[in-house]
Amino acid sequence: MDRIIEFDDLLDNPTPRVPVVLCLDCSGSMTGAPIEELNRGVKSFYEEVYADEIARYSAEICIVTFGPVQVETDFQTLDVQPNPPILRASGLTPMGEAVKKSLDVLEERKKKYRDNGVDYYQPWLVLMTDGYPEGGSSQILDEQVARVSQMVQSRKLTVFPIGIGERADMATLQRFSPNRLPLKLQGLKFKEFFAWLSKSVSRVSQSTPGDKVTLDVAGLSGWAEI
Amino acid sequence: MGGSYAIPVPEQEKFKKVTKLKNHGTLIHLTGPLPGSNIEKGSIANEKVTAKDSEHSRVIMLLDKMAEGGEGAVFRTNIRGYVAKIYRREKLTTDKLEKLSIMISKPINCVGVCFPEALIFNSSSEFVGYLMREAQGVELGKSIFQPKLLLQKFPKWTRKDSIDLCITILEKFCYLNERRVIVGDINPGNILVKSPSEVYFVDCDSYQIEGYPCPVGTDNFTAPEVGGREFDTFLRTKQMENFAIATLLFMIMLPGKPPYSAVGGESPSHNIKEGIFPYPHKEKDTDKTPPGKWGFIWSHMSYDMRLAFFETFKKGEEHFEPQNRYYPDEWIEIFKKYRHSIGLMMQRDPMAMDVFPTRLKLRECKKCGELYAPDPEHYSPFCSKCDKAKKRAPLSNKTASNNHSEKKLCPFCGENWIPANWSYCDDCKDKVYAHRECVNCKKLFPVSTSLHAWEEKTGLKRNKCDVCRNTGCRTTPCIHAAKPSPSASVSSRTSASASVSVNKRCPSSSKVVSTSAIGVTKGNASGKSGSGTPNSKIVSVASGKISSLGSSSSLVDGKNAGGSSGKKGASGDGCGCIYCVFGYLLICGLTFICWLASTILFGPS
Ligand SMILES: Nc1ncnc2c1ncn2[C@@H]1O[C@H](COP(=O)(O)OP(=O)(O)O)[C@@H](O)[C@H]1O
Ligand SMILES: [Mg+2]
Ligand SMILES: [Zn+2]
Ligand SMILES: [Zn+2]
Ligand SMILES: [Zn+2]
Ligand SMILES: [Zn+2]
Repeated sequence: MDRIIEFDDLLDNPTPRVPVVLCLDCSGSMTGAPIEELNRGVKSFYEEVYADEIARYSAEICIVTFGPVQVETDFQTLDVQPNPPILRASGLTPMGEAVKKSLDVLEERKKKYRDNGVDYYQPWLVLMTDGYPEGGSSQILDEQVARVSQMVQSRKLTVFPIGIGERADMATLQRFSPNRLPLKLQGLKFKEFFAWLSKSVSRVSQSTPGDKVTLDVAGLSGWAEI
Repeated sequence: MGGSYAIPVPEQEKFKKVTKLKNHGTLIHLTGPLPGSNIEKGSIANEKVTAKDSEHSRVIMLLDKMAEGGEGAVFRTNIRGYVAKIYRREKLTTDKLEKLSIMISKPINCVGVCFPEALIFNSSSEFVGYLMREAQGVELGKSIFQPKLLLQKFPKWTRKDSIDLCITILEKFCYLNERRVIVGDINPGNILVKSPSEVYFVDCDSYQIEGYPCPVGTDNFTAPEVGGREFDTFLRTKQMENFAIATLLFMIMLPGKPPYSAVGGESPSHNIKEGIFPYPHKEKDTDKTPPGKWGFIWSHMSYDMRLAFFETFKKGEEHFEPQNRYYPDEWIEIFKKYRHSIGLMMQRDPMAMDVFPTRLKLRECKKCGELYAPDPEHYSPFCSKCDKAKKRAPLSNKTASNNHSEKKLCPFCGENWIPANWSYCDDCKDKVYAHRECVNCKKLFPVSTSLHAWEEKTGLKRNKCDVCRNTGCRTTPCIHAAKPSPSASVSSRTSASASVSVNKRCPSSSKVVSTSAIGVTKGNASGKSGSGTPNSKIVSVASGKISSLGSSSSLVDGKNAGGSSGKKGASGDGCGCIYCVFGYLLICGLTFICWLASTILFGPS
């Protein structure tokens, strides 16, 4: 029998989705070891999520970078897009604009889910920076801080703000994290962070939307400065 | 109620009926070692532990760590076919020990159910886990529930396999529910599939027995009446179990798609509460059906299958209320009937058995009679050619839509419109409606749709095959008739089926009615439907005894249609019993008298 059946991932994949936006600072200051470690971390994140047969069809990853705000890859399961983009460092740090882009893309995706009867979990936003917002509008930044808090309070978003290195603006990251302290990466332990993130994604993808899933707090010590 | 077996389960083999929740236990602090706690998945523990059931105690070896779960790890042992689950320290509690002690005290012996069979103690004689049979196969969640993994792991899978898988799983639920075990947390990670007929249930220590709840669960499988309570704070009812079972079946038939995933963005738990079921039935169309292949898969299911899901999941329908949900044995009959109709459905549409059909089920054009694939975007009872012609002649269009008021869909094929007083369409009136076991010879005989319609009208039920009707003796069952084959008797035990005189819920009135193999349904059945409507659920069980789940529509106002359809029978080519011999002698006698009379009257020629 001919079993070549075309599947449209959005429509024909019944697995509830975990939308994950990685909003990553790729400004000029990330040049060198940081961007290399970041790329390595993202790659291992992709590999680990792909290796989990449920997360592979559940996690939809979108990567937004700044320097210039850019959607590197729009929401897609790793079954459809198993290869991570290669990130390059350049430009300033328009954090407000990048968060705005991330949430806009997320809204579009959620609308697609709703229109197509696809179940989804509370989306995740991972916001990583090694510096201060720079080169963007402070009004947009304030608007996005308000937007994120509102979404977090109404349980429509989980945020992980993470500082990289000594110069990271933890105060701004704190504004994006109404419920818990922002975390700081130990050195350049991107790989450890993404390993933790993929495990967390796997755990959520094994539950049902709406179920309470507690974060693996103990696992944080593997990559975060406490 | 619920599962009923040819051989009833003795009371002492069932868990006790308990309505009061046990209090939480306390943590057991180990003084001795936790076996296998310091090794990785895949490596070998080689540790001695003691396994004890109610009678024996035996030292066994833990071998390699096969898997890890939230509560503990699973090890192969030196007992062939058995594995051990060793809990994590923080999961070892007094209530778990009590619950498992009760679990191992009952003879739960159902192929594929990896139920605890012995407790496991460490070298300091402290409780650390339990012994169970080894499971095989792959989790539902990593196979059947993900179309791509399904085709990867079972490349030849067809819809018939999905039907068989449902039956296999349902038989285990019958077995467990009958013994007052509630699975509770029905979860795609805890059912492993080796093949459609070989399935394993694991994580059985979480099942609810007596006052010990199943402390976990997930939204999709949680009945609306649970109302957000924490799972360890109440005892689940069989009705809640029935909800979870229905969901599981739906997700096997529509691989991985939960019944309440709907267009519009409401969460499944919201839709569960509101009974918003997004799949259409009959002409009730819905714009909530998820696009993609789901509507196609739905359309290709048999009429009865769709009806059963529709009435279970949609608020206001016949089987929506908790007490009206189908029990596993009732689902088995629906699935077996679906399986019987495969041949016919394939004749009508070659895509009928595809797991992932690529279009809607073919329909017969109401004008030219040609089969056509309906357009999912635009409902029309006509093929595209006739549809265009209709549009040019709007007058006849009007009569076509008027038809619906005095016509109904043929309940067998669900395709053709027929006058309201007909039972089935011309195509279907001589088809085999179901197979039924003859009470006398135990062979299956076909029940035609017209016989079925007659039974619906009269409230009578034929319980013997044509051969036995014409030849059989009068004892029921005939003690001389051939015994059913061993395989048939095994499956008639596991396939829960009504035996002689059991009580069941009448699906339309939800009153208890008595059904019996001799086929007269007693009780107050408010027959809502005409003869031969799809609500009549006289269905056969391939290898079991006959059961009539439905109320016969002619039984109104509590009148008993009476009659003893099973007690007729002429003498015949007998089995040698006293009736047969008498019958034979009688015929011989009559023949002799006739011969004598004719000789006397007409004289020898
Ligand atoms: N009887 C068994 N035979 C083989 N593997 C098993 C058996 N029981 C459990 N497993 C494996 O171990 C995993 C965890 O077991 P489970 O009882 O579900 O633990 P938990 O309740 O801690 O999640 C299962 O997903 C399954 O892969
Ligand atoms: Mg489990
Ligand atoms: Zn036509
Ligand atoms: Zn018909
Ligand atoms: Zn017979
Ligand atoms: Zn006899």
